[in-house]
Amino acid sequence: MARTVNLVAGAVLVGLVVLVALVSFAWTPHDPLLVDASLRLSGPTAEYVLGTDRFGRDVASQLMVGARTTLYVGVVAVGIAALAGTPLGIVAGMRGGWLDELIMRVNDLVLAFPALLLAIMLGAVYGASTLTAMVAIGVATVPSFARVARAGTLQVMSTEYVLAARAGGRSRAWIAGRHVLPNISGLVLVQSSVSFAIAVLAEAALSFLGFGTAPPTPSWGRMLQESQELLAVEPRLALIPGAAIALAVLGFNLLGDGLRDRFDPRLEVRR
Amino acid sequence: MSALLTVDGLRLTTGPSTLVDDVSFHIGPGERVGLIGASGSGKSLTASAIMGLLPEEITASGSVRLDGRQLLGAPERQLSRLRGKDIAMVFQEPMTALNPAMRVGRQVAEAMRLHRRIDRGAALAAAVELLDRVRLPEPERIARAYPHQLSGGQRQRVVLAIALANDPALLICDEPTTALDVTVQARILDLILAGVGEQGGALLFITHDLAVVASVCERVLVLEQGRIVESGPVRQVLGAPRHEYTKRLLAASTLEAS
Amino acid sequence: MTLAIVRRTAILLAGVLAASIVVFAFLAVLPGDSAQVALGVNATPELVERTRQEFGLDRPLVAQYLDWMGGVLHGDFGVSYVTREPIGPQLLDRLGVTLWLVGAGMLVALVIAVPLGTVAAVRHRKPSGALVSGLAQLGVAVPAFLAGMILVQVFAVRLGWLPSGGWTPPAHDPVEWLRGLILPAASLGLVQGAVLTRYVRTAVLDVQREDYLRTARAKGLRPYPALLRHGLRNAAVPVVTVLGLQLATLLVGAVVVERVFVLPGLGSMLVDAVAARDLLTVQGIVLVLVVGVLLVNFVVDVLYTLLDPRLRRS
Repeated sequence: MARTVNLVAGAVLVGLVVLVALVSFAWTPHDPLLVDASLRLSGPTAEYVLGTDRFGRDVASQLMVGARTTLYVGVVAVGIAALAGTPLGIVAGMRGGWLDELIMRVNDLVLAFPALLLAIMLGAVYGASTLTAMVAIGVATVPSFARVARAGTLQVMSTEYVLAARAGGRSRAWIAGRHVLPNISGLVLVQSSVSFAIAVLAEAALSFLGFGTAPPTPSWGRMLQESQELLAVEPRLALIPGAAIALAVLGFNLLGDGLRDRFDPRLEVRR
Repeated sequence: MSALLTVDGLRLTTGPSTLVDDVSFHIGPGERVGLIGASGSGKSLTASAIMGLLPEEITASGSVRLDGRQLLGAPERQLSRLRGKDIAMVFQEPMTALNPAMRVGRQVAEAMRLHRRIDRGAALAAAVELLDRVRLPEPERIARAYPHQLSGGQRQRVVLAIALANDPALLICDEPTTALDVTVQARILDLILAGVGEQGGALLFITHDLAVVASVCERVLVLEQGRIVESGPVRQVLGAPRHEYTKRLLAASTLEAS
Repeated sequence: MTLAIVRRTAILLAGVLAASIVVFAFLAVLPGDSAQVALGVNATPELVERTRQEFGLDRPLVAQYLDWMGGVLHGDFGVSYVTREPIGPQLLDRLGVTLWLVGAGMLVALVIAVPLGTVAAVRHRKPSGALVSGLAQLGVAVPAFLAGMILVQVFAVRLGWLPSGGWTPPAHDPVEWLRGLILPAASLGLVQGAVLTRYVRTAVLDVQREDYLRTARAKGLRPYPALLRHGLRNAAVPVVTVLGLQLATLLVGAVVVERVFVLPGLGSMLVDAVAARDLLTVQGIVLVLVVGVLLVNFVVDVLYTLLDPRLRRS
């Protein structure tokens, strides 16, 4: 029972973020970038549901477009990590030997460069942007996928049906496509959800430091950063994007937990 | 003669399903009783209920008395004072029954130190003696070893030494030889018999192996789907089974033996 | 066991070497002309050329790398192209602040996670256990800098109990130092503590299902003592692994928290250096942080062997 609760709660929260982001393409209550000095720091009103920031911009509209940024960064970063990490893990697990050793050593090396550090390095060389943030988070997440995929592959490779397929002379590529990939896709999906949560946090931290999405594009992390000086007078400006980040992260984590309960056979036997 | 252990109307349930139903039996002091049945018949759960170590999700009703004291529903404080001292247990899986991060000698000594005023050094010396009693070669060396350095049979001897540490009035053995090589099985059985025999302790021996029951026990209880379907002296039950289930068990074990 | 440690040390050294090459390639080679970057586009070609010669940037890359690493091994991180001051002394100074912050943050995380995680596991079927798990799940989702901002609001601005930022060296005034460390350490540790609570819970849950814990109970140990004596050390093995990964996260998380609390640590130095286009300084800081992560991994691996006798090879 509790299992489904995680899955459903996670799906609802993630669904909400996605919905808000999609709606923001077609409609926002106001122009999120419209500066109106006469409306500076207005509290919530019927017209400005979440109030305005210090430039008089509508917070609700910024929040909606910010969801887009968050998802965009997450999708690209997790996409890079999954598309690079999963095949590497499968190859390492299937081939073994020196290739496995090499891939895992490079993996360890990448692990020594956390996403934030990598993003700052990229920012130092190329100038910080949404792109450098996405690439950095993506590259730093590759090892997680490679590890998960490798562990899953090793498990699949020792099953009877794979042994039978190998004895039957099936090629490696055939076994990878027919047996390994379908069997580890659950694990990869779980990892994607968990990595997405981490990516959302990393993007927020980078924007906060000024290494993420550049103004004026709305981003939850930068909304937080801009609110810092006004925290004493207008805590609302920090709490709103803060809550948005926390809910999105919570959603992806719950979704990951729920999916893991679904796909982890070890847990399923135990009731 | 009053019974040492009296189980009366024991019923174990989890959610809507009943796992053990109306199980009643008694064991006299020094008596050796076998509990047989197929896997899933509720043998191990019955043992856990007597030990007071049922998984949280299982509820027990009925009564389990040791020397007249009610164990079912007794506070944990009281139970933990009995466990390891008056009732001890040997488990089926020796490979996982010992703490992998603690030296064997300390694990045996701990069983004594929990129930007696005895200092660390004396307890360790006594542990080495116990390891010798279960016929482990070089007991001093074994006492310093970690479980992973021992074989399955050696580990089961250690588990037995822990169980015998305080000369319990009742020793429960849950399939103690199932996980072991055939060659080791007979020796462990001898050690169990000697262990309880020396101090006149009683034995509740759980197994699905009828040959073992025949060689170890005086009396036998047959459990089927959580109910006792037949009981009596070993020779009577195994020689002339009355219940259909017992006959089937017997037939299955003869097949296995041949 | 000594063999395992020798092997681990070799892996560590190889890792440091590889990481230093990556850092050098990234920050000294990729940008092209470091002198140009440092001086900006408006600098005259003569000035750029002079700077290049002054700092030896006109020599082959391999020579530059060896020079840099040779210096680093002696604590000499070179001279900043921008401030023209030696980088090493300042870096060491800043590193001290960051290490205090990370250490205190880890302490907060452990103090939160070990008891709460254990309770959550032991009572996982009861409402109190579920509550702890839920709170941990929520805590994981809060960015450390947001926690920091909220803590500052409550404890510094509203209540005025603790300073809202700034750094006092411990030798200068130990009381003020401690007061200044509490909020940053709490914001770093609260969030990591939530993450760690989840891992402790899982580890203790797994240990609780182990047969040897049942053996311990059968000996007559009560539930909590059984868990303490037989469970904790075994549960520590997976937790230490996570702890290692977390220390790495903390080291980087400190960058953000230093920003919130205006602490003169490595993180704020890094951000400032990037803003000033001071690539050699960036190079030095990144190397120190990365080597820190590698060192932590090394220590974790060694601890691992010490905790689990099965991993020791005699």
